[in-house]
Amino acid sequence: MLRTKISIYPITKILLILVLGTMIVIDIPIIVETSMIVLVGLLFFQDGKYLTGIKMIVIFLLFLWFEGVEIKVLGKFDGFLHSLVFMARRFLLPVMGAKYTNDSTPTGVLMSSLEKIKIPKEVIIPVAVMFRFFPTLREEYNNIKNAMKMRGISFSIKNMVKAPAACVEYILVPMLASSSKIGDELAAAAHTKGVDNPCKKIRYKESKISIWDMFIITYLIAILIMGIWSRVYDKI
Amino acid sequence: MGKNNLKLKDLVTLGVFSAIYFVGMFVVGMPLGFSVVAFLFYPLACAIISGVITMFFMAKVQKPWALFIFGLIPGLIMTLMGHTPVVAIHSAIIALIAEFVRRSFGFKSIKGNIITHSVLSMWLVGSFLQIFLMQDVYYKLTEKMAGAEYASELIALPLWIVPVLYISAFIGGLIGGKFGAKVLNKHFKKAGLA
Repeated sequence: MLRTKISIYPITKILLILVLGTMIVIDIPIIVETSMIVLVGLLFFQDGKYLTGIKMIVIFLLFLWFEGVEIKVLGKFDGFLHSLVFMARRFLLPVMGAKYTNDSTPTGVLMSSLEKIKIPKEVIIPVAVMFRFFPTLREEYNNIKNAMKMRGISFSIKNMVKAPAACVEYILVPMLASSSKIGDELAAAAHTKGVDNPCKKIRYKESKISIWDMFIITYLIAILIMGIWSRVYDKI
Repeated sequence: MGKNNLKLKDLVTLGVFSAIYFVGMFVVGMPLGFSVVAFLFYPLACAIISGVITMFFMAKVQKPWALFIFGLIPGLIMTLMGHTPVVAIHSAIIALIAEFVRRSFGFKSIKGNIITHSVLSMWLVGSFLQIFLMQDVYYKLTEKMAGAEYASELIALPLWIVPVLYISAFIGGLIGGKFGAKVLNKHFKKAGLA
């Protein structure tokens, strides 16, 4: 029998990203940040991406260590360096959370669970397509760049300043033309798979709420309480 | 199911163009974010660049509500990635207005599409609006990320800057829309895409 991984319910993942996203906006104590990193690391382990999880934790620890180090190299710009590292550390969490969600969720599972919480398909399909499309966009950009190189045009800063309108035109026109074609093909493929079929669907891959979801949600609530408590404690 | 409902093909096109719009927004925003004064030109610059994308999208999908969803998605994702909810609500309102402006001009009118793009571009002001609506939160955030100097400069922006930003976004939209219509005529009509 095939050993199947326990997959975490996509809604839980979206909740996780929401929490991580709001964490950039509000001022959170370091202990909350560390425990969130531990949670995301655990999720990477659960998904079998051990290397990514270890890398993330090491990078976080390096950033933390850097905070305490006093640097006297650049003189005036020392403070700037610190704030740069702080910014990188703050953005590490949501970026890694989004990466985890993107890597571990098949589009079909995501769509079926979004359907379950009654989000209209007019929003689900564009969002699903959008996330699928980012890698394609990068590929297209590289192709355009190569084609330009063959004709001896490069997108250097000098050219950008000299002829900005031409630069925008040269990048955007081929990109839009090819993307619109790819979009048509994608729509045809989706139509063949019966995405727009109005009846109820049975899917090959489904995910159910498991003990992991309970664990994540409890963890999030616990962290929330901890954060509020530490804030109150600070005030006293 | 009427003929004018959004079909699967339109929805996929919507997703594709939203992705391009989003990437374009980021590419324009990155170099401008480094100083407050340059950041003030962000709505203008972004409106100009995104003109081609929005115009092409409007030429491709001429159905009601398509533009509303197109305007809604970037705001939603910005909020997910750590902006305040002000951005999402603001962009929803702007997208609704743009949708009705587009309807009143008719879906095929080029002039109407240019004006619609200008109206839609105003959602970019949302990230400034949160400076005024949620000042404390915003200050704390930027102080740590970009230094106290940058943050206090950002907070010290006077309130009259908001209408100026709206107007600059509108003008940028007009320029971008004109440029987009030109590119549309020059390239895409010939190739039979639009």
